[in-house]
Amino acid sequence: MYRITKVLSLSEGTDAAALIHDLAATAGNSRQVLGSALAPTLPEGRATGDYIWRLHFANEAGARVWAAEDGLEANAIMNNPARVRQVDSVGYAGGRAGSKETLARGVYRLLLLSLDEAASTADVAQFEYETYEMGLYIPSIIQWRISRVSEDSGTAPWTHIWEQEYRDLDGLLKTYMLHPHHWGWINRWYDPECAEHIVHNVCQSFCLFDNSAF
Amino acid sequence: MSETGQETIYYLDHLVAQPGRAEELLRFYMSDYAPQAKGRGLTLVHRWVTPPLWLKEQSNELFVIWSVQGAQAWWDVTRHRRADPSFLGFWAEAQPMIVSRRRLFLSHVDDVDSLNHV
Repeated sequence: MYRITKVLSLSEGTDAAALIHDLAATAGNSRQVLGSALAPTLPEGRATGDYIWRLHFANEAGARVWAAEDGLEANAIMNNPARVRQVDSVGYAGGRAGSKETLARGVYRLLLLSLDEAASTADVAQFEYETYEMGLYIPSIIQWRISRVSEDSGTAPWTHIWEQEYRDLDGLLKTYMLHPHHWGWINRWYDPECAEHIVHNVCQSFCLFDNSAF
Repeated sequence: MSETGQETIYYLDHLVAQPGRAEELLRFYMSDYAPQAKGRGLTLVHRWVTPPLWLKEQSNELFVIWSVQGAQAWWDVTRHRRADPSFLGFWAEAQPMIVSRRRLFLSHVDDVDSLNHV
């Protein structure tokens, strides 16, 4: 399985419905795309962007075929500044994942991460493990995955994507945020005042889903 | 045991000073960093040093402990810090006086269940 996930910020005055229709067509027309979900971000919290677009393929080769065919049209749409202001995008083969159950619907949240390229291999491995571990300790995280990305573009050199699914928004904005694994443990990798700091940029966004990303 | 949402959360700055520079480091911490931290909502709880004399040829270790009440207050302080990165100037200036440092977040053991019940 290979995934491409994008956070889109639309230009002012864009016809969002037409844009979504046009982008979805580039996925729907392709035999390479096994799944495509394009959903508006939620206004609560500090979600980045206006839409999250998740595509998955059988493998990376399938993603490359799409990129060279229908994906060209998608890129032309997203590179049109009259329609799209900013795109943060990652491609990844899938990382370490956990699951408590499969949700038919809920809240999907992603965090794109840019880790210090000078971070040690041991620190990156520990950070990845502790990120995975959040799903084991925080009850509201139902499904989760931390992945290294193999291609990226956007506002920072993205190195990882941290994805979670929740039953509802409280699971993200309350339980996830207030759990001590978050503020008392893993946050040190994000905090420039902590010696362990290695995460230099983040892009977080979330949306409703009715088709699990996992 | 504290009321849920009002548990005392401690920040511990553990600083290993360069030999002979611990007193200078603490003075700088208190004059430059502490006012910023207090302004962001942190309460200074303790300033400890080991061993309890100012070493000239070896390193003292400093333990400065701050507190906030509840995880929401912890995030409020963090958001203030992230919005105003001027505090990073302190760490850059203090670095020549520091061998190593670590920041830890702690609670009373009696508050663990309450803190995890979110």
